[in-house]
Amino acid sequence: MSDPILKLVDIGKAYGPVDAAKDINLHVAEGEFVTFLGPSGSGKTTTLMMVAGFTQPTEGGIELKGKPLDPIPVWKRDIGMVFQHYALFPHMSVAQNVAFPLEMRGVPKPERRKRVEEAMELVGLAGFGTRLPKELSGGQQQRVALARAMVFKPQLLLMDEPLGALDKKLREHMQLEIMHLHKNMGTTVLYVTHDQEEALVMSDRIAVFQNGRIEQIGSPRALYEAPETKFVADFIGETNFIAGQVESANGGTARVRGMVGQLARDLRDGTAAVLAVRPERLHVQAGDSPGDDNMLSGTVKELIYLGQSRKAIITLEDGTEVVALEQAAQAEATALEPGAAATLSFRSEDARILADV
Amino acid sequence: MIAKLRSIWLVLPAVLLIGICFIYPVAWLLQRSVSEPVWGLQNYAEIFTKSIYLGVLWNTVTIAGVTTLLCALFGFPVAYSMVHSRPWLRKLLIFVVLIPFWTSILVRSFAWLVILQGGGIINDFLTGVGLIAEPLELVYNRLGVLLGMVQVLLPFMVFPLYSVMARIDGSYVKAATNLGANPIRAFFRIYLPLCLPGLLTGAMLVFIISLGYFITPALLGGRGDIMIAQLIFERIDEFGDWALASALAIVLLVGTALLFGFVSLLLKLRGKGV
Repeated sequence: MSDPILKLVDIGKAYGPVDAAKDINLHVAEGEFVTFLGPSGSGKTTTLMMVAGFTQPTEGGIELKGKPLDPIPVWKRDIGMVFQHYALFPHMSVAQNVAFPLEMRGVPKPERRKRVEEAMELVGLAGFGTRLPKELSGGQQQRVALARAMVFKPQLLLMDEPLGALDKKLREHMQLEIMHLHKNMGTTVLYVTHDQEEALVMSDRIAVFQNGRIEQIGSPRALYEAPETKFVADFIGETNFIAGQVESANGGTARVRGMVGQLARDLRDGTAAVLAVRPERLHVQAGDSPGDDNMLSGTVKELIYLGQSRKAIITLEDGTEVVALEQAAQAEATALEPGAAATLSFRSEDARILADV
Repeated sequence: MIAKLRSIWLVLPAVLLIGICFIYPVAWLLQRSVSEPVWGLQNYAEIFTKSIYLGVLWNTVTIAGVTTLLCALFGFPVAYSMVHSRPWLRKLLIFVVLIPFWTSILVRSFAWLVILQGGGIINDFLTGVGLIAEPLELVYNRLGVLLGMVQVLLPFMVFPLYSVMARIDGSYVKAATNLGANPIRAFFRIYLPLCLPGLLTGAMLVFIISLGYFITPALLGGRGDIMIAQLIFERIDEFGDWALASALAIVLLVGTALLFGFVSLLLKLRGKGV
C-alpha cells in the first residue's frame, strides 16, 4: 500500500483497568472503504471516536496525511461523520443543516448555496431544502446526514452504524447508494457496523474487532474464505467447527481428528484446535462412510427447505451437530431422510485449522 | 355520544370550584373597578396617567424581568449539571434546588434579613476583617428584593430547563463540533436553541409569578421597590379603595394573560418550525 492517508499506530484506550481498545494498528489507503466489524463492546466504535477526536487515545498515535491528529481538536480535524441516529439539527431546515459545515468554515453565502444544492442533488434530495428534518423519512434523513458530512469535502468520512435504524429493504438499498457515492466521490471511508453481511457487501477491507482488539484485517473474501481465528470464522458467515487437537503439522497443513485441513496460523502438534468448514463446502451423501480421508459419518437430524437451497443438520457420532448447505438441484439428487445415515465429505483446501481458544 | 355526555359530569366539580373561587371574584373585581365611584374607566385612566402608579407598574415589570434574567443565568448551569452528573449527584442537586420550595417564604425572607442587614452576618464579617468601614446596604433595596426572589423562583426555571435538556441527544453537539463548530459556536448555534422551549417555559413561569410577588419585596425591599401586589394591598388596607385596587388587579391579570398567550403562541410556532 502506497502512502496511507490514515495511520493508526498501536493506539489504545483504557478506562481504568479496562481496555476498551488496545494495540490497534491500521493503515488506510486514500479512497479505501474500510469497515470495523464486531459485536457491541468490541472496541470498534471507541476506535472510530478516537479518529473523530471525541475520545483521546491513552496509548499510541493517529496520523492523517502524515500529520499527528492528537493535538488537533475535533472541530479542526476536517473529518466528516455520519452518526447512528443522524443527529440532524432539529431546529434547522435541511438546507441549513447541510450548509452548517460550510458556514463554520466561513464559505461565502453564494458559494455555500451552490454547494448545498450540489450535495442535495448528489443524494437525490434536490428541492427538499426548506423541509425540517422531522418531515423526512428515515432514509431521507440518512441521505441528508450523508450530504452534510460530505459537503465540505472532508479528508475522511466516518460512519457509525448509519443504517442501523432502517428496515431491511431500505438498508440494502442504502448500502448500494453509499457504495456508489463512495465510488463517485473517491472519499476515504471508515464504516462501523455489527452486521457482517453489510460489511461483506460494502467494504474494500474489513477489520474484525473482538474484546478491544483487531482479530483480523482483510478483504471480505479473505475473511470469509481464509479466517485466521475461530472468532472470525464464527462471526462472519456460518461455519461448522469440529474440535480436536493438531496432529502431524507439516508446513501449511495438519490433521485434526484424522482430517486434513489448512493451518491458518502456525500451530504445534497437540494444540487444541478446531477444523472449520463452511456449510456450502460440505458434500452430503446418503449411507455409511467408506472411511476415506476427510469423511464424516453421522445421522440426519433435520432437513430444512430454503427454496433455492436445502440445509441438512447432521449429528456426528460424537454428538457434534454439523450443517451442510446444498443447492436445490443437488439436494434433489441426494435422497436424505431424517434419522437415516449420511456421509459428509470435503476437500482439505476448504477446511481451516484454527486454534481453539 | 352518550358516554361523552356522561363523562362531562366528571369535570363539574372542577368547573364549580373555579366558577365560585375564581370567575365570580374576578367578575366582582371587574365590576367594582368600572363602577366606583361612577361607571366608567376613570380608575384605569388614573393608573395609566399618575406617575406613582406608573412607577409601581414599571417597578413590577423591571423587578420581574431582572429576576427572570437572573434565574435563567443561574438556573442554566444548574440544570445542565443536573443532566450531566451521576445519578447520586443529580438527586442531591434536585434536593438542593427543591429546599427553598419546602421552606416558608416568610422564613426565607427573614433569613435573608439576618444575612444581609446592617448588623447581619455578611456586614459583620466584612467590617470585622476590616475590608469595609461602614456596613454595605445589602437589603431594603433592589438588591435585597432580587436576591430573595431569585432564590425562591429558581426551581421554576431549573425544572423546565432540566426536562428539556435531559431530552437533548448529546450527538447534536458532537455533530456540530465534528462539522467544524468550536465549543462556543456549537453552544450558541445548536445547544442553546434546542434549550429554548425550556428556557421560555421557565422564563414565563418566573416572570408571571414575580409579577404578583408580595412578601419578599415587602420585607426585603425599600420605598423604591414597591410592586403592584403591595400597592393593591395598601389601597385596600389603608384607604379602603376597592375600586382602584380592583382595577390594579385586573391590569395585573390581563397583563399576565397577554404574556402567557404570547409565549404560548411563540412555543407553538416553534413547534411548527417557523
